[in-house]
Amino acid sequence: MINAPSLDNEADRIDALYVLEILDTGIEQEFDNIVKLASIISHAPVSTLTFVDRERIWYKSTLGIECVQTPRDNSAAAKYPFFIAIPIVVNKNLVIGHLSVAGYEKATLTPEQNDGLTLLAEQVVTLLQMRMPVINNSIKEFYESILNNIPTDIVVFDADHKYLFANPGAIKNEEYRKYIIGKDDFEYGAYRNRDPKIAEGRRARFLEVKNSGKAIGWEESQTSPDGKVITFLRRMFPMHDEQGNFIMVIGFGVDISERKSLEEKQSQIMERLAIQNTQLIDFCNVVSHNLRGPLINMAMLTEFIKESEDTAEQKLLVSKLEPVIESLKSTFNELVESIQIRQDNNVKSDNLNLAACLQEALDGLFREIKKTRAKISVDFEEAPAILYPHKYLASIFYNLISNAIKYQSPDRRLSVNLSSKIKEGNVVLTVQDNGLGIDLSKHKDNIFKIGKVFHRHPDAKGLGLFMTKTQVEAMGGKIWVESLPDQGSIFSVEFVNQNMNW
Amino acid sequence: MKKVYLIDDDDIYVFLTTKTILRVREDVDVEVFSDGLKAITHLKKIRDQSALLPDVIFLDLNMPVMDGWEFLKEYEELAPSFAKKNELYIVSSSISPHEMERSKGIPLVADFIIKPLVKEKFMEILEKM
Repeated sequence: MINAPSLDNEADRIDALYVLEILDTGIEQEFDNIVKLASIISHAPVSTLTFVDRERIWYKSTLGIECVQTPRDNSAAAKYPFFIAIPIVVNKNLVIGHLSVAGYEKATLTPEQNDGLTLLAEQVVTLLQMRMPVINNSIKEFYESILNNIPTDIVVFDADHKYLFANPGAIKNEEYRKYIIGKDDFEYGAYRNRDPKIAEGRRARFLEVKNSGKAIGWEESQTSPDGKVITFLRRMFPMHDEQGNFIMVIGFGVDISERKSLEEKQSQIMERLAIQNTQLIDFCNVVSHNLRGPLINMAMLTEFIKESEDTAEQKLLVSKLEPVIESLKSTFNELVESIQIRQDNNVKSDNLNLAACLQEALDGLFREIKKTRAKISVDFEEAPAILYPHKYLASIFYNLISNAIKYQSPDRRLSVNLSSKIKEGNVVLTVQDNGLGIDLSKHKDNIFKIGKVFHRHPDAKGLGLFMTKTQVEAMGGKIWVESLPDQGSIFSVEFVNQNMNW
Repeated sequence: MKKVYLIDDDDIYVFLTTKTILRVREDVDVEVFSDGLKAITHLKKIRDQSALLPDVIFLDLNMPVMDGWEFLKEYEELAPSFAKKNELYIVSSSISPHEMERSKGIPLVADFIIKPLVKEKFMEILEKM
């Protein structure tokens, strides 16, 4: 009647048996008690606890007989008219031994007796596992210490979104950490006096995982009490039992703030490189258009002068050389200056009064302003001063105003409005005119490039705005324009890092 | 009598190129437009008068008001209605490969000439006609 262990999983069965380290151990009171209880329950004079090794049956505990081991094809059962063996089962289906009772007279067990023996067999397994120190203490400690020291937040929720576990990464305070077990985020939020929206958000994520049965991941940023932005990469995934029932959700959070800030720095560098690359291309175009043009003219003029035999013609040709050289010189100077601005990273910034600096530019343009009877109104009340290199600000004012004068409409008296506004630690200067305007749909990309002119105007050389842009960008700022043909233009300059106390 | 249009805003260059052209052939009539808009406005007016239409157009790229590319956009629409066929050359001080590549995408552009326009090149162009 012995249930001979199946040979299908013999290797697994032997592994499971050996892990328990029970074979060839000495007498242990707990197992003897079980054998005794089995005998009492079944009213049987003989009772044994045996384990089935590879080649033998080994007796851990006996009552009513003396036996240490027998070959595996044991026929002990045949000796007794009454014999019942309850299998000792581990890992669901691995039979590693038997709890047996036997008697010298035929008998049947009541269902209660049968149940009692089955429970005792199960108790044997419990005893075996409790004997193992690793499972009992070390392994639990081992995993707990991993979970508690890992630099990751770990939380486990049951199927109803109640906390089963939270490690110190997730909740630092031990008191809170103990409190949260068995509670949900709403209860915890109330306990910690937090916005219930947080709990609502977490519930939504939990339900997403629960309903879809799939893992989700997202990034979450929060500001720490000391003002630092911390970004977490969070993941949640569902766990199911063997029948496929949803049983719990495990949540992870990894601090990726450092990676985030590196990424940000990298994209800033990329942006800067892209700008520099555009500037380089602009620069090459400038050299090509603005320097090559006059050089070609000079070469041609010289050629003609050489070939000409008429003195009057020669004189005429020489006179034409002058403006070419003049234009070459001014372009060249402009380029050199723009290179110097780009290279001069340590240019000194001063606390500049906008009105005073503007006055310098207006003084320089005194004649032009008087001639055009331009009306200039100023509102620097919101941001009366900025931190900037004096030379650059003077040049920015000069260029924007002389630009407005140069491209004023012949149909109306020029008026220029200047104002300064504070915008998130920066100062934005706007210069608005009612002049000719620029068709931005055509010239949007070209407006601040060197040598680009948009009007038939004798003074149009297209250099000023290029220089202004260079001076603004060298200090990390921005310049842009809004304009409508024949209505006027608004140039805006943003000066960055202007956290001053007004 | 051949008719040549110079569309270019550089006075001195125009002066010198006109001189070069006239040295090659005296029976050439050079008309100058200092930007694309002036040229296209004129062409619209005379498109059915073959006596006034040009044989060759030399077009600069970098000009105020309407640059060479903008001119070409309108020219492409207008050219099929001309009473007389003509050739168009871009003549630019630009040595940018990007601009040369761009000009190849426009079938009406016969060639991209890097300034200056020299005698030999002009003679070659005349012979083709």
